[in-house]
Amino acid sequence: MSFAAATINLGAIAPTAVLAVAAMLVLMVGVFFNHRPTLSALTLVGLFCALVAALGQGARGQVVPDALLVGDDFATFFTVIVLVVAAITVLLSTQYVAHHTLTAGEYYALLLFCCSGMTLVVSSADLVMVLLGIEILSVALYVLSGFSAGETRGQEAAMKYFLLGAFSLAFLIYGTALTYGAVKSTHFGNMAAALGAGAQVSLLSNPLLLAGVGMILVGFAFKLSFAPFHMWTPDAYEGAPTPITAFMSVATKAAVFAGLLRFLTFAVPALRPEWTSVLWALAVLTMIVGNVAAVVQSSVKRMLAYSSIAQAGYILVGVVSGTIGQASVMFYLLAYAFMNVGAFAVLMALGEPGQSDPQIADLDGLTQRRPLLALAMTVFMLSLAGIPLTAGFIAKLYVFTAAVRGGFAELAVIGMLTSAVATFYYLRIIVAMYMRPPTAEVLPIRLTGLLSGVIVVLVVATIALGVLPAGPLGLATAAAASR
Amino acid sequence: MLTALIVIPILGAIVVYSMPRANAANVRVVALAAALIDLALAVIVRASFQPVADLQLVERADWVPALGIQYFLGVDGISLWMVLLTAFLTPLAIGASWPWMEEHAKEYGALLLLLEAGVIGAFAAADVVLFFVFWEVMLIPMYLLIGVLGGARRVYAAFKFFIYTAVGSLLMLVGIITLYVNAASTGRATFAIGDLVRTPLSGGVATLVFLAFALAFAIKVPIFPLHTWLPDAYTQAPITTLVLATMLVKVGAYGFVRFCLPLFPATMQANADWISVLAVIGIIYGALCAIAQRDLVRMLAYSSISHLGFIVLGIFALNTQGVMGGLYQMVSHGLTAGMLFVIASMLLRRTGTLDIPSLGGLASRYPLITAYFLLAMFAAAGVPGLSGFVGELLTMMGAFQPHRSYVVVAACGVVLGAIYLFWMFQRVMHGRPRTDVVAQPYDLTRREAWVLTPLAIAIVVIGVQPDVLLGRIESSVSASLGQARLVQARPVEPNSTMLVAGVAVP
Repeated sequence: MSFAAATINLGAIAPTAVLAVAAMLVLMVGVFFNHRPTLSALTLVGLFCALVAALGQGARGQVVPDALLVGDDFATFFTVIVLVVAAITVLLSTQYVAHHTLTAGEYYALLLFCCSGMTLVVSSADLVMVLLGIEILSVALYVLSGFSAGETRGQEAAMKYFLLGAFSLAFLIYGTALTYGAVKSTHFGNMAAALGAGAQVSLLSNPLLLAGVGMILVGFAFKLSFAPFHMWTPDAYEGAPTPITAFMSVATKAAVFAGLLRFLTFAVPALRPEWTSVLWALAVLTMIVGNVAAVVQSSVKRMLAYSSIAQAGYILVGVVSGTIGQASVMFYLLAYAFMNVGAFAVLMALGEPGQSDPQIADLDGLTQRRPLLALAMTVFMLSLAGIPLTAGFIAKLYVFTAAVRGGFAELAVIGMLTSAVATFYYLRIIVAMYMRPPTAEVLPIRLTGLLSGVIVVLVVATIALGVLPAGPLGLATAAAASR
Repeated sequence: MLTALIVIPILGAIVVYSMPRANAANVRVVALAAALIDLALAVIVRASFQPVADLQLVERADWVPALGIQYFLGVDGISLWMVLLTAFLTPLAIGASWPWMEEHAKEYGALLLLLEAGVIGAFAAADVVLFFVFWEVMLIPMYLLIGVLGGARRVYAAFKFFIYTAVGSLLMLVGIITLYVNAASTGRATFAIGDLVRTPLSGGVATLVFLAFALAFAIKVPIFPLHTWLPDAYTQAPITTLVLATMLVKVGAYGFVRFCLPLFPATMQANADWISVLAVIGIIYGALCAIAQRDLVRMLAYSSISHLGFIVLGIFALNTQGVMGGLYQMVSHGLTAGMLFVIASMLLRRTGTLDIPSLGGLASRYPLITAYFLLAMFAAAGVPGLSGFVGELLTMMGAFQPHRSYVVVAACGVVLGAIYLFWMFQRVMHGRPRTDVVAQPYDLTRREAWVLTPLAIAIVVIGVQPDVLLGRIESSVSASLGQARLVQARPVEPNSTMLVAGVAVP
């Protein structure tokens, strides 16, 4: 019996490890020195170190066949999205943390743990690693979404989120177990090899595999809130603190989509016809349900929750399109990160700090009170609606081009028709801000310098991605090809 | 050069928007200056334009290489006049809005300039995605002009306008993607119109993609029965901005010539009959509705639908005369409708109402305005010697060869046009004065004369000397039709344009 020396690829796990260490450090410091600015600065330093670790990996090109984690450009791309969004969230959280938390250290530590889970997911090459990562990020998010001290509604939302999240994780775990039974491995490469060996893979003749892969897809669908597994999303988004809503609507989506892409293309490419048809149906349903339900919302946060479901549907179109669509999925998630966080950032300026849940009517006449804030919100809404010269347009164009190229023109048509519905509700916000007089009882507007700065950066990023998308598109294409 | 034509209004808009609100007078001056500089540039563009069919003043650079999108601008005989006309109408729109700008100077100035940039961009774009970008971008300033500065039902009208146009254009985007994917499959992954033409789509797909494009353009023009957004939008929008808004709808008609004609010649021919029928219905229906209107602007809106029907009829004749007539009519309608809208705004300012039955006897009070009004009305009604006549004659002559019976019906539209215009004129200008609101008792001011006179001169000049326009248009249209192999299919008599006002076309 001989042992091969274990190949330890420290490069792949470096961002995750740095984040975990930073989280514990913030937690420890927070116990003794509950000084908010210091803690947030420390968190930012942790995120920055993780970013350096992610970008500065010389050993990344080295391919280790059995590695549980791979540190390729694909992972780096998503790691960067997650870390940047987390940093923005830290900046956006200052007011919330100041008013609604007793111990800032816990809040920031949880955020860092959450990120470490996400970076784990994006570089996993093994189902168990994906599970671990999703578990870490989910547990941290359950706590964060119910973080408001003495707020019953937030706790209710957190409870719902927890129950359904645990439910979906059970699907993932059970699916992993069954798949392991069918192919005798949880490693993506080995799974693909096992499936590829049997020349004709028929799911029907292999019920174990069918149940396993099916359950894994259901688990992913829950996490990414595809219809009909989306029910938890509006409640969780509405109840959670707004910075956390922004964070989880974007970063979680990016990380879990990365995991899904890897699973589909590395572990079960042999089942492509099967999962394509399943995801095709999910995409259609998600685009329709998300967009139609968003039309009737009166709370802006709930509207954005349904809009995020719809956006997940568009991203799924890119996934369905196959290899051609991967770069488009990555670019879409990048664009979505800026425009969606931006929309939530504007909401944070309205009402109670960090706890705002404005109705659409509360935005009436916003342009007369804060013209630049209204202008920023307009940019984010137009981008989410996919109007040209914003990030959202290029993202949609890229995804639907991939769909037509992959032979799914009908998805592009459905996507465009549902986008027309989407125009309706994004426009409602603009109508309220520009075309209605301010209501009698107006929400207080608290626009700190920090918040304005973040919003300006996000507006610039949203427009820059729409006007000069060549660079990021090239990165996404290269990263998608790197695997 | 063309980039500057687009960038200057945008810069102007930014400057205007960032100026202090208190200083309305300066804001107006800056906005007007930006528009005039742009006009001067457009005149230079016109002067440096060579009378050949090709795309000129080309600016081409990779924009999004990963997707094959190019920043690709250029003008040919088809787009030249549209660009020039837009640059011509913008300072006039700002000039006409002058008194209305006292309250919302920043909004008027910035939005009108942005609209100009969008429309010029759409006319100058030679890459389909770039065209789409401008096409969507010009929606937003118009949407805000209606929704922010409009009348009582402005929110409804703005919403309807945006949703109609956005919905139509989304399917066009799928069509654009299909064209691109088709081109990419033959190794030329590009959105440039000239390259796309070389990789034609086949049968069923071509029809579907054509219909996607046609839907977007038909909503914009608008072709009956997709026209219902227009009367609402026009009635609710500030009247003076309609001077430029008429160019917005021209982009739709232009789209048929620029994109549908070279990309789907066969499909266009196969579908020409029923679209021409819709155009004729639009001509008659618009005219009948115009007769029934009480509100002057709403009447002009329906008359626009009627006149725009001629443009579509001409384009779908698919011969040189028809397409040229359509393009000529686009210019002519931009001038006459613009002039009528300006005059309507002047009457509103003086009498406080645009309700036709409550007006009357204005001719004795405002003889100069009446004179201009008469000229614009004659031009709109197609009186020979003025621009409207040439446009209607050319489109009908073009359409006569393929669609003889339609032209007979369309000609009735000309008669109906005369009826509603003259009847309206009679009720507004003649008879006993009924309005006692006299905000401005004096006749034409100097500023107003500066707005109306250039329009009047242009209407007369292109009416008497149509080849000023047609000479530049013809080579491009013939080339475009020839490329689409439609000229041989429907031969044109060589000297037929000589009939127009007795002037030979070079």
